[in-house]
Amino acid sequence: MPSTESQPAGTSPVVEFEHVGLRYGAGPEVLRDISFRLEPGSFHFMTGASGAGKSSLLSLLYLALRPTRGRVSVFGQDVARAGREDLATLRRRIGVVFQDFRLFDHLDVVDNAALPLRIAGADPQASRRDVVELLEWVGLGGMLDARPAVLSGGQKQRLAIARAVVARPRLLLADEPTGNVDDQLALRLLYLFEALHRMGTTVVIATHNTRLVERFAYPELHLDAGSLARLPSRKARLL
Amino acid sequence: MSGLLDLSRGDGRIHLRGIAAAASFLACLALGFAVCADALSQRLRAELGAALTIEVAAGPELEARVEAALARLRAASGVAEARRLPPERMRALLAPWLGEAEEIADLPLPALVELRLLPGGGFPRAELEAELRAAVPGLSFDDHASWREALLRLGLAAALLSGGVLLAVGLAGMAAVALATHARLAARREQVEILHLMGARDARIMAEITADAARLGASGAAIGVALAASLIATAALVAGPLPPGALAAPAPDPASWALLALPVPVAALLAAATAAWATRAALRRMP
Repeated sequence: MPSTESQPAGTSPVVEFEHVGLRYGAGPEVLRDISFRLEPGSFHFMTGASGAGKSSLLSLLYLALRPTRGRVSVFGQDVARAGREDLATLRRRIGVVFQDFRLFDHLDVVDNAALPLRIAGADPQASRRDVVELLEWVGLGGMLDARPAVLSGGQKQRLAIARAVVARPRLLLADEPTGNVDDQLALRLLYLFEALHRMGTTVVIATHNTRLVERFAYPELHLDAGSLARLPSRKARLL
Repeated sequence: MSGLLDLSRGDGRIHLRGIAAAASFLACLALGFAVCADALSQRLRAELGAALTIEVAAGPELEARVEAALARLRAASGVAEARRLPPERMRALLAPWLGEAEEIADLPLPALVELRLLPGGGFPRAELEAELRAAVPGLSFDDHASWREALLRLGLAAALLSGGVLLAVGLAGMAAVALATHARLAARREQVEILHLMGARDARIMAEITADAARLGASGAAIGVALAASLIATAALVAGPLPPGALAAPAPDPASWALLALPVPVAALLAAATAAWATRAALRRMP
């Protein structure tokens, strides 16, 4: 497995946070003074207890929120200065697997998975074969015409993952992507993320699954009460 | 292929179509009123414009003066018919004001000559009036100008009234479409947010909502126009034909009747424009 601890010097980061803070309304800061860089092609697990701020940090990464202080830069673009059109362009380069899937009930499995391609303006007929191939890979080949309402939790999760990776994003963010699947399928999905990583995609996976984190030699973005620590891979720590 | 947004669900759809139907129903009735009023005004003005009334004042040698006037008028160009109003018709016209007592027959009444002109003009009104005034003492022309002017003002007033109703209906319809669009967007906020997070531009989302609003506006308006047209037709049937000799019934031309279908494209356009505006404003407030 490729190590992501060291990156070539001088490469511009995919994501850069500088002293970022986030609060909701007048509440307390849920993220405090966070600074880090994600180099191109890196792979990180995001860990931390429930309520530590993982989902908030992911929201900042997938540009659903703007920081209340500090500077967030994605693909070299300062998010605070990005207009709506710029944000849309940046977001097309980011794939997101939501913890609650957020599938579209009125679309079948193929159309749900193909949504990012459609938004990017791809010809649906031309891209259908690739979409179907991906769905077969995640084990949904027999359910192409099904609506999300009839899928199990695990199937929804696999569909959400297929949707996130179908457009080969430069940055892939996944919030508990293996939460509803068995260990075997979780491994299979991690291998899919690894395959994308090997193709140059920067991957961040928020998870509570310590077995997976221990199995793969990737560093951690560890959140504790809104503060971030970068840790080397658990494998490296155990050595 | 389904749209990006699930706009096929019932919430808001029925409202948009209902708003378009109600607004178009009222608009169609207002247009029908304006069309009929305009047709009636035009027809009456045309009829009045094609006729003149010539009064020969009561006095000595009335019959001779009337005959002289009639002879000259009948010889003039552009005249279809010149005839004296019979005395009994005169009395009938005056009866509402003077009653029908025998004494009225002894009143010195003027003679009235009805002059119907040929269509296309050619009647030398100014020259003939001057000539007859000189030749026939006590003669005066009445070209019904004041009536025609009154009818013109009536037609304009009807058009103004209809315009006011159309404006009010249009504004109320737009306000209702804006509210319905906000409600539809609120019900789909999560979908819109996800689409945004996938990189969908506002214009793409707006296009879907706008196109759907236009479709709903057009289909609702078609229902409203059909209902209004049915009502107008039923009202015409209930009223029945006018008796002979009564005022001419309004008979708008087919192009004017086609105006009644105007609310369909207008409703589609207004619904689309309002939905686009409301969607744009709502999307701007979203991440």
